[in-house]
Amino acid sequence: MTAGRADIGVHAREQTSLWGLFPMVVVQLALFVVPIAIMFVYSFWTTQNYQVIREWTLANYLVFFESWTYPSVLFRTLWMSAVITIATLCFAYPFAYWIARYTQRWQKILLGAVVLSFWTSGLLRAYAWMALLGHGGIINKGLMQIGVIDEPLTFLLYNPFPVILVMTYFSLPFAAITIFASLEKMDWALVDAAADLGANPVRTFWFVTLPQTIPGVISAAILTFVPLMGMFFVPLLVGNPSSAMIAPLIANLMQAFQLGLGAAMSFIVAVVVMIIIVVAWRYIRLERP
Amino acid sequence: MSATVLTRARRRFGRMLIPLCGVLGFAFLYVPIFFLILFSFNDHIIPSLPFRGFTLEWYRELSYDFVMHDALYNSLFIAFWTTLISTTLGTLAAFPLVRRSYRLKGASQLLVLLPMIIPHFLMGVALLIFFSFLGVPLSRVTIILGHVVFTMPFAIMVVSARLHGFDRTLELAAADLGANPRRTFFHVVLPIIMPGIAGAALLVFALSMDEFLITYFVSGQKGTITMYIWSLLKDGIAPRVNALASALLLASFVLLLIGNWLSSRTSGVEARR
Repeated sequence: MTAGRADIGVHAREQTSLWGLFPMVVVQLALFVVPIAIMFVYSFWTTQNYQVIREWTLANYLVFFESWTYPSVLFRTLWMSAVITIATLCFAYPFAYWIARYTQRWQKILLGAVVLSFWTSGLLRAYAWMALLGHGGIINKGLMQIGVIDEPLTFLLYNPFPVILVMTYFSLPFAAITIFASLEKMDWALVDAAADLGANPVRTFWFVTLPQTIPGVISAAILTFVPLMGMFFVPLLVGNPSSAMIAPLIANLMQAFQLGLGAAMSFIVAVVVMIIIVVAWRYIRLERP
Repeated sequence: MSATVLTRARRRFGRMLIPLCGVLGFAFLYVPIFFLILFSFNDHIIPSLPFRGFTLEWYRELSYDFVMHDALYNSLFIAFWTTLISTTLGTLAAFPLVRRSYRLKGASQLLVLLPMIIPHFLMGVALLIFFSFLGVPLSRVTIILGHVVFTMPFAIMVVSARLHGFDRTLELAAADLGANPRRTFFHVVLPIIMPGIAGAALLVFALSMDEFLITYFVSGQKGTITMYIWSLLKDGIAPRVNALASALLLASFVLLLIGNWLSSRTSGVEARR
């Protein structure tokens, strides 16, 4: 049993078995890939009287595309997601920049404080906003008390504005952390060099800082946009009831046992998501929250 | 001269703008939570201004709410099993993902990444159809399965981060000193990555407790705490919800502190380096 040093090295390297992957792959195939495949199959089946009729048909897709009703919900969801993504990035970038200028010790504390805020239930944070924005909410009562307004502000709830506000609030921490990671890796000496050479802050930002962090910004944009397409309870709680988003609509179809149509619409959303992910694949970096 | 004054003013404005965004950012993140907690103590039926005095009434009411207790128990049960399964399988998978290169590595990485970013309702719809296709009745088990799918990638990510910084010469040294692979694993590798595993477990637990949309589709009769909160929110704002929110906030804060404490504790091997 006197193995040589080289042998030990080889031994240690080889002992990481690929079998470790086995349970993870089995679980993810069985409960992620296969269900999505079955969902795809169901999108070609229809339901009648709470029974699934297993005959292949394009009827569900025809229902989706035959009128403007369903596509308009999808486009509204895409449009709102885009607006919220842009709002999030515009806010997250200076916020992350501010954190990045601190010493490492302070960065850790500030990032910890950012992360802490999204360790609270999302539903309850949406509720917190309801209590702030409502007709008799804290903002309206407060402003009326100090005499700024006489009537409660009505634009604060049940229209697109609070949806954008609250979803930006939800997306900010993750986007800020992703952008922060790219700012941290950036070469700050170049920023100082640009300033030394006489570039003003705006030029420095535009030609030196931003180009170096573009991959981080794109990554943050994707990681913000994709989950937003599934926004569910925020539009239901603070949005306009008549301008539905795609996820609540599909949930209603599923509850009405319209499994085929629900599956078809889910599949259309999944295709949109996949296109975005494939196009942006090389930029996607998940930073540990 | 006026030009320099202007530039200086502009620069001062620029220097002010960034900290302003920082302060606004934190205000944005924490003001809603602050008011949420404040009005859980307000002695009035509506959790809004004016503040009419301090009361613990809403917390007392909460302690009698047996539907809520039942939902909380279900959530803890589900989070416990999800944590156990996701953290164990995620740790097992993290080793080959970090240390080995193999064919189809890209595909397996995609399998890890996708469930993390895909909208939850897609997973919920797919799982609901899947279970109905198989004729599996919805129960706590189906919720656990749904939670394992989306939390395991997070466990893999956290443990992988720890494994990336792992000094493999320590394993060589252990082998050199005659430890077999099993001994090396339990006495060298595991203690070093333990903070990563603990962090992963905590994250998975919190994600499971907070999950809404997958649960919404696959929960059936057994309500979780998020389903219970959802049923309350549809009736609008009420101080009882504020109290529940504050209590849960405190719980997750304590959980996070424990997590920080665990990950700041370095193992003996590391401390000597």
